[in-house]
Amino acid sequence: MVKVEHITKRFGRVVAVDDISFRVNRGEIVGLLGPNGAGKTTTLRLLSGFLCPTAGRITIADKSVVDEPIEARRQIGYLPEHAALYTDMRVEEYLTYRARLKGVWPRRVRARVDEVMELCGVASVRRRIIGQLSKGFRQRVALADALVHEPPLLILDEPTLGLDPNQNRQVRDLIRSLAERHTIVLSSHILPEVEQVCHRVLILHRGRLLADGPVSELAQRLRRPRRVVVQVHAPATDVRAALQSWVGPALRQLQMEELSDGWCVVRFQVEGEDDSRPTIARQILQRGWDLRELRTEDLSLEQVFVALTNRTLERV
Amino acid sequence: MRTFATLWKRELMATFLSPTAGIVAVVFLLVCGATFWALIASLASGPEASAGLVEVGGWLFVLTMSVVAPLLTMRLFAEEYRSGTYETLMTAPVTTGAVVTAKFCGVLTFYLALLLPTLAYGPLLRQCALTPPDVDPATVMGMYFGAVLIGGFFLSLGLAASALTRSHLAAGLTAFAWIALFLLAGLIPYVWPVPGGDRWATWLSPIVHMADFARGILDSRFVVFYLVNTLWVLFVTERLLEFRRWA
Repeated sequence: MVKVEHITKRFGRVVAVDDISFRVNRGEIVGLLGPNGAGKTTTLRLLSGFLCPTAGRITIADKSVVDEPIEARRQIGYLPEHAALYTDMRVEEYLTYRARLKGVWPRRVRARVDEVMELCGVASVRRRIIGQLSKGFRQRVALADALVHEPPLLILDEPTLGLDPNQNRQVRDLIRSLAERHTIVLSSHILPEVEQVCHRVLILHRGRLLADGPVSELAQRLRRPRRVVVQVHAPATDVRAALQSWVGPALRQLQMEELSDGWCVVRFQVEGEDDSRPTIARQILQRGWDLRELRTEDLSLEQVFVALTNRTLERV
Repeated sequence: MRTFATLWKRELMATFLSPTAGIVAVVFLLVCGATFWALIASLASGPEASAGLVEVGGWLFVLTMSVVAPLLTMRLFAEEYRSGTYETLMTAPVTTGAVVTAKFCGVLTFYLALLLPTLAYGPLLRQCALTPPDVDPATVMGMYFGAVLIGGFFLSLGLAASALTRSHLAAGLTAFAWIALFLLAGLIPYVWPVPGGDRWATWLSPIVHMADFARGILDSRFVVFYLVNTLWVLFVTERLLEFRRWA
């Protein structure tokens, strides 16, 4: 659906995007992650055709964004970072205008506007002036605008920016529901949001693509030691000694916490690929201790992100 | 064509709803009304008093337009940049040329709507006067033709200035400066006499052009001058916006 080949974008001497390549397949939800100034918005603006790359090539459904901009833009529904709308228009009037502008068949405009207003939950405010709407509603109107011409690709720049937790959840659910019919590329700096919504993550830092892959795969690539959590009913000193003998030299960063009811929470990391949990479980039961928790903690996207960006900083 | 019509309607509505346009309309019609009143007063005093009235009318119109055009056009692109709607607009499947043309045609339509009430002056005069004046239709048509051509050119300059900045004020001042330069260029030969200066003044001065149009003289050179320059400025505006995508 989206093919990005070695794109670079310079603003004078500043390199905002530096030789990035990636692909997005039909039906995927891809998250673009990065700290402020990483080049997320510039990348999305390049994808949407708002900006042209200094070097490289972008195609949307085999249409070049530079050479066939109108055809390429027909494939795209774009939500800019700050939902920019004509505040002097009414919701329905604005969406009708946008549908006509985007080439929706005249007889279909009314029905399509009704559909997207229902889908995005703005039907109740259809006659309201946009300037008088809350930020949450404006964001939904902007999303309805992005959807109105039924584009196969949605480009969403920080879709939940500035929303309260409830609005945030609603927009996230809406995006997830859209995945059935659209390919979605979204940017965010809210890591759990991307983790919950996206199939794949692209991590940008200082204009360069640091990583591209599913969250679990990225964590694996980092080869971080596995983190194990155990809750056992036994004295902390006994547990410490036992763990050191069971896991051996692979044991790292052991943390103990004794709870008032006699339970002990232990967190540690294990070097290498071996899963030590079956051994630990067997040994605990052999000693006659009660066990109520034994699990590994996967690396969160936030940890992956911090690790990747820090590695780059160390290299620089 | 459908895209152009959609954009044009939006621009026209936005212009009609903007408070600046309302103030401009009132000022413009007040100036036109005052000119009309001066015309009546001078006609009442006899033919000698109205001798230089065509030139004065030309001056008054051009000076009014040098303020009206920047006020009407300053928000056209500057407001889109400021509010961020420019990004929404330019990521829709529309060409930059269609956007520039629609914005120009939108503001030109508003300007034509401003001229409409002045059409009532003639019949009004005929109704009120004891002896209806003998008005040459060629003169009236020439006057309106000149007003549209010169007004259109000034509006195109305002549109180009608006495409340069996100500040309404900066856009308005830039447009005013450009129009003032154009007006002053026509006056240079009077201030600084040079051989053939009169010819240059005739070529460049919109006041001379307006006076000619108002006499019913339709010089094709001036028509081409304004049409070509308006199209040229619109083309430069389009290139300017395209350049922004690459910069």
